[in-house]
Amino acid sequence: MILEQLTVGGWRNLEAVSLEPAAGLTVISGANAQGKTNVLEAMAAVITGTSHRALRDDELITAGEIKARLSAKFRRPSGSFEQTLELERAGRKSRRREGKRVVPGADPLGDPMVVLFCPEDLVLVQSGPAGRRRFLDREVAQATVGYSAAQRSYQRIWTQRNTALKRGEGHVVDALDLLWAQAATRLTRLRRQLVEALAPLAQKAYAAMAPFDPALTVRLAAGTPAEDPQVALAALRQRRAEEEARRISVLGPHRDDIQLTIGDNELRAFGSQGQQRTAAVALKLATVQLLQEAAGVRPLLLLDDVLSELDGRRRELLAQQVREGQTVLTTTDAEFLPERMRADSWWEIQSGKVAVHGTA
Amino acid sequence: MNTQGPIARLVEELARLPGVGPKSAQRLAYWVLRQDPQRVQALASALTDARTNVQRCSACQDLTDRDPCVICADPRRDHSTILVVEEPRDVQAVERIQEYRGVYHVLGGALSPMDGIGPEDLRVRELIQRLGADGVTELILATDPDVEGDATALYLAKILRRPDLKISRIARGLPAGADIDFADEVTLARALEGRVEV
Ligand SMILES: [Zn+2]
Repeated sequence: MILEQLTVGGWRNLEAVSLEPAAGLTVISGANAQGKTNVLEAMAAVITGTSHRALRDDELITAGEIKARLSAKFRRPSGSFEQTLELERAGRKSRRREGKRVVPGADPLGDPMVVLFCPEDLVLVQSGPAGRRRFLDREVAQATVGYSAAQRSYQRIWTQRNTALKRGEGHVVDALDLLWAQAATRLTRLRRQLVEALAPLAQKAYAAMAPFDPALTVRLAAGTPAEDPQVALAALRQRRAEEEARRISVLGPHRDDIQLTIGDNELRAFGSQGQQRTAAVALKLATVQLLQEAAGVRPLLLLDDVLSELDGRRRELLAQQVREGQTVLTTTDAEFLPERMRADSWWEIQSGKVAVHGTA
Repeated sequence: MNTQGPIARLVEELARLPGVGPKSAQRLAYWVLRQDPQRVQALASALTDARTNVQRCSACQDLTDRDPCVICADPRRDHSTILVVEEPRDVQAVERIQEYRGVYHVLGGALSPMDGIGPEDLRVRELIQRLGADGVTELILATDPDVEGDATALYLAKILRRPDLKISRIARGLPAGADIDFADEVTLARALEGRVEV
């Protein structure tokens, strides 16, 4: 699936513009704080419906505007379609495909997919588990139809149950326990399957970048003690006293983590910074491959200023990926582009204004 | 527009209606002002009449202009079976299908701790009283098929369980035109398969 056109209005500092990314590599250059990341953010948001970094939607709307609108034209083998994201300051948000509300997974011809790689992702391995769960939920999960519904459903049950615990409503907590057991085990199973599919791909990518290291293993450290609802329920009920004392759910997918080890060493605690960064790149590359295998088309790859952060081998491997599908990357300096990363389209951005410099 | 006086007051009141913003309220106000006085009088008395004469049925808690309501007062209906729903409009929806012959109980919502709605905010006590008195043998829980509706059904099943009462759960057909998230429905259907003992 190719992003053929993106029309941006009222988004962050960007001037209203209609952009046509190349089917291959588009490079966006510009000094810091000119709006490079905002363009990538818009490309990802029109696909996923949310920003990867905004805490609230109204941050995304240009100061003085009442709404932001993104409209993207995608082409797939069966034809092309338009997908829009509209945000209003009052909090209303609408995602539409060809004018109809977007229901993830409902389109039999497939949804557009995106993998975004930014400098903050390089600490994916050493930072806290929340970042790794977000990585699973936002990116890897695009490979599973029905995942986002399962995740939202669990989230809601978890919130209701936590509130019932705080309010001391024991019988209501009991009722929610049953829903919890179904939703938590379902989400755990989906996540474990995703991580199991990702693991060999990540191991291969890691070995290509660090051939002298022991193998990288990737597994889900589940916060739910079992995948059978009855067993999970029994375990949950055993912890009730503790939960009532702490007034919070102590088991469940909200405590999941991705565990990464090199040989016998847990990477997060014992890896060198170089190993941790290599593993982060490997996870991203593995995600691109996994999505490609799942859907038959490579996801849109967005690289936000990461090349300057990487050294030789890791940059080379990323460059290989760039050649295989549609990629948009930002850089402050063209010097960071490896020799064989020839741009098909080159944009420059200054104070939110995008100028197209040339297409090959 | 003048910000005080009768027109402003009318706009202010109309803007309180659900789904009506200030702009539509203004449009409605001008519509009212273009009508015959009799027409407006009819609207005004319909509003007050409905509010004054419609009350809750003391048995099923549905809205009615007589107590008990037509359904509860009907001897041909099966008073041993109670279908539990969230809102009065759910009673209307089931009645339209014309297949159910039992009576109803309207809870007035669903459990939602995050919205501050607990059991005491629903008409659960009234349901317990009915079960104690009326020779009821079957209870069908037909709260909405969402997290709150499921939680309410499971809660009721737990606190009302007794040997001589058959309790079942049906996920009522969704009202036409509702925003349906199909993936969610599948998730919830699983939750209701009864694999976990109630
Ligand atoms: Zn009645």
